[in-house]
Amino acid sequence: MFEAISLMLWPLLACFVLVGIHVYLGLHVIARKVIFVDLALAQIAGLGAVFALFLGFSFEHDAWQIKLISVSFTLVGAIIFSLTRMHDETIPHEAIIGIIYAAALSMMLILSANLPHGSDEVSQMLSGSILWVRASEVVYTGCLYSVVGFIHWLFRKQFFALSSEFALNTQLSLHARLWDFLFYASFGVVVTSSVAIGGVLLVFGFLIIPSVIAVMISGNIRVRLLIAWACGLIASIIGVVLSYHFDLPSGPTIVVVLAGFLLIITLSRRLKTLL
Amino acid sequence: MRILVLAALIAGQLLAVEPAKKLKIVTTMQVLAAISQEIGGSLVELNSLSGAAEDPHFVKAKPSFKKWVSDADLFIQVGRSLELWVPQVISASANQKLISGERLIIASLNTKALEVPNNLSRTNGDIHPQGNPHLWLGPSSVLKMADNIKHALIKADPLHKSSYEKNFASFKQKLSVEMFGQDLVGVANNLDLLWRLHEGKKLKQYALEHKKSVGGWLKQAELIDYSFISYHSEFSYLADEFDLKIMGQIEEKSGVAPGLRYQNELTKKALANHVKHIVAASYYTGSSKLIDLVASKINGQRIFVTVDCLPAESYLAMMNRLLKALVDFRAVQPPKVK
Repeated sequence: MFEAISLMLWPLLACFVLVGIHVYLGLHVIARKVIFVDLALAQIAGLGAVFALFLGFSFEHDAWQIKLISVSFTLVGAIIFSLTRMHDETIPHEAIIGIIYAAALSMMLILSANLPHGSDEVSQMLSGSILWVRASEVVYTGCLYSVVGFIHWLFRKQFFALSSEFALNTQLSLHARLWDFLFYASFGVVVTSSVAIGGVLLVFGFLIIPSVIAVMISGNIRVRLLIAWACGLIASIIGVVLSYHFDLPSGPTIVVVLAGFLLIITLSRRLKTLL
Repeated sequence: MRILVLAALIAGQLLAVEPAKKLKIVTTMQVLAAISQEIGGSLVELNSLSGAAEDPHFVKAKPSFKKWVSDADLFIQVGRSLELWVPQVISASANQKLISGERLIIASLNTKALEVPNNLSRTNGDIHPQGNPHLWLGPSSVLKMADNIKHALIKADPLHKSSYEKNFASFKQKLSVEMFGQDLVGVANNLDLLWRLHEGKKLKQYALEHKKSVGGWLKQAELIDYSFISYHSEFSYLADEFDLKIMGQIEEKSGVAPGLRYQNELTKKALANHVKHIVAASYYTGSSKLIDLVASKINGQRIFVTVDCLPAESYLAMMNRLLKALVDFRAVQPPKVK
């Protein structure tokens, strides 16, 4: 028991930190129908890191320079996302997100073809694994996300109004686009740090699955948030316990547990309507 | 009286526990575990973070791996930027002995380095500034690695110094016999002399002078009469010590798949030099489509060989398996040109 705790404590705490912010962001993402925006932003951040390597920085010695360039790229991505949303949906925003993802990945592949590390290795280094998370990373990220979370709580009216406006397809003012940029910028910073800790899969899982479950169950934003948080936390605990007990990779195990939750809830709701 | 009983109990406990306490060693690769096993014998408990068919450039995230690292008395890695994931894994383990660096052993220290880049600019692309890290297929390097491991074990567990030294000496003897053959080892009666002659490429001359012939792996390797293309750079040290001919490498740079122009140059060169053999490490089976494509362009054949020790396979057994596979590959007929 003691051994399990000492081995899995920090990975579990890291999960809690990720759940805390991503579940909240996930509700926005679903309201805005920009499901894959996190993958696109993570890819842009990756492109930034590869560009930094291309300039001659190295993972071993210049970690913060790489981070800085990577975050700058993410901010540029945020500008693009906030500008490219059309008020009429002749071109869906998801199409633009997909294009940006593909373009960023392609540029990364081209750049890394001339790099000492192949693209596989670069992706591997950008993408962490929750089991090998460092205590210091968890504390640092927890603080960072608290700040981001606090800003979002402070301006919750603006952020939620903006996301529901998206559903209504109204014309966006410049003012709204600025708030939009702020949303994508904070989202980009969070996603980049999270992917470095937990990898793309786990971050995507935390972002989307608990929010989808919550949206299925309730229409109230506060209730949704509570349900989604509860799902994320419980799935993290179950996933970490299963991962320890059966010696499985932790991140994928948690995602499978989350998917299991969704399946059970979907089936039980179907069953209810049938009866 | 009660105190006496208690003392006796504690003493009994201590005595009972003492012989079972082994030095816990974690290695990044099977081959390091195999070499450490030779030196540590029954005094050590070994675990490797990558299996034989796994690429040592990456590590999996299994809880049992984290437990090994957390409990380790000693962590042995190859070094030379092969295992870039080690710092992350060690700091995640919170094992102070390893974090302080005291029990973190770099096995490649002071071994020969091939392919050290002249130009240290990273943009020109050399992933390994201290040279090619795949040195375990070179027996001379392995001897030095075993020596490094011996010193690390003695430092961690000075009580058993004599055992470690004895085990090292016996490993050195076995390795030398396999490498040079019993005849030559017998006549020289000085292992260091043989390794020095081997390094200076004067072994054949020495054997002639003493009317003996070179045996062992060196003799066996003479049967590998073809030059070949490798996928990655795992075979450089093998080629260096056994005078094998590697014509080129499918990867354009370390870890980077080739562009079209490079592929064309490689196949052109192979056709011009009648090179028909491709050898790749078994963890590159994922790239077998590309490897097969190159093989078909040069009307050649390819094999995948496991370049690390299989579970419970000794270093000597691994080298025997590898050399046999390369010798047998000689007989493989490339497909007829249609």
